[in-house]
Amino acid sequence: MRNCTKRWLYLLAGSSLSASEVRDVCAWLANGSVDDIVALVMQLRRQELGVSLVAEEAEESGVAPSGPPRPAKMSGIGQDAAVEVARILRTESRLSAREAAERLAAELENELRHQSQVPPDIPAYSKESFRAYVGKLLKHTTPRMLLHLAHRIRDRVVDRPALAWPLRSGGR
Amino acid sequence: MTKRAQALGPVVATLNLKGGVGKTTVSAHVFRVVWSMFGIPTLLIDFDPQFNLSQTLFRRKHYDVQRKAGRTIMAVMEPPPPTSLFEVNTSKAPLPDPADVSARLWYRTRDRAIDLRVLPGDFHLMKYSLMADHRQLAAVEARFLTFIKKCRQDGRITVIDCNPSSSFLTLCALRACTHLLVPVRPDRYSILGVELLDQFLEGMPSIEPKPKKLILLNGVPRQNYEQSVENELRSHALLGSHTLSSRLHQSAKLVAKPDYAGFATDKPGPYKNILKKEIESVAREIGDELGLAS
Repeated sequence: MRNCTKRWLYLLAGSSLSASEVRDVCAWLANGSVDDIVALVMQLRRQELGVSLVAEEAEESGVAPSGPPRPAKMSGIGQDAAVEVARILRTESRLSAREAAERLAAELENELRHQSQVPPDIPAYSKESFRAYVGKLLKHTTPRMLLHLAHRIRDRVVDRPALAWPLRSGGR
Repeated sequence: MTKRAQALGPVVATLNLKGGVGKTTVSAHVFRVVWSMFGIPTLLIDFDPQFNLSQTLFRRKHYDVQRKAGRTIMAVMEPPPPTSLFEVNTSKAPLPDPADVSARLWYRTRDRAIDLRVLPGDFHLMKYSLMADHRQLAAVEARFLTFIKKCRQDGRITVIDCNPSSSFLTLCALRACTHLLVPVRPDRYSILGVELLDQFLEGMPSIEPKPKKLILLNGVPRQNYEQSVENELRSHALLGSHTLSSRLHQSAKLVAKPDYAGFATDKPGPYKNILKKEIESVAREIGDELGLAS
């Protein structure tokens, strides 16, 4: 094995990616053009602070992004939650941006209706990045609620390994 | 939050029936940042007979001075003079002022009137777990609850660092608090502890209104993290939406050091800023939940 390949494998081994996520990365690499991937890696290296934004744009468009990263519009907590919601719905659940957005909005609407009995005014998804849409939803709820809803959607789409001691009341 | 609720400060009980989940770590290091971020007077109460919070923040010499002067939680539970481990003083002596029984930590803020205080713990708290005389315990509880009301009156944040067992002290804390902060490690024993605590709380008709639950994932591994337990918690119909989106990762800086007493983020050294940023994120989310404005 070449030294650089070995280093790359060590980087993956040292990350917290699960086996299925590593499989996703490999599939993504196999589908992309070599030049685009090299350009993306170089850009990430230059713009250390914009890593998550660049990565998401790349994930959504399938091509290497150009230009500097856009400034963050959400708070730090909201941004982190948006990245995590995108990971759960787009990467783990393999939903399209539109499908993920629509399912999330429907769940949120149900939840808010259940809480307040007042029909909430949830914005519809239009052509925008999924993360930007999550930012809009965060005006109606907390990051922890959106994470909870994303997990709920994922559980309906993807099988989770059974735990020896699952939580009892309403876990699944 | 209503004006009335703003005038009365929030009371946060840090509690989990499972030990070793980071209750003391969260009470000390997270609320030190909540205090500096929101600039609201904060009182940390060490409500555990093992007084780990006091050991985290004081050197032994300093703690002994406080204890000798009668400035511990026992001055709240019973009027002085101190009784033995087998008696309770139920006389109607006046309650101490929170400022008189706590130690002020002299950190600089924009406004020095905004203080951060610690009410030290005491091993003598243990006696309430050994007692069966409900009349005596009721008097102790009433005194504690009145003290907490007093603490809330000037809008300060009161944090009660609880012991892990389900005991008389747990009940006192649950009756006193407006918010319940439950640290949990991402392992199956810990999340079952949250479930049991939830059942315990729901099964206590005498605790009304129920405190608002906030669950904090603590000690999350930075590498090779197996997420299935966190997924189980976040998906849960009753607990998922109460689980804060911010998490605290494992950090050697949060482990008690033999030669250091004080807040983890005040000690210089590598990775301090990473930890500080992470705690700030948790503190901001908790502040939002408590209705604090920075």
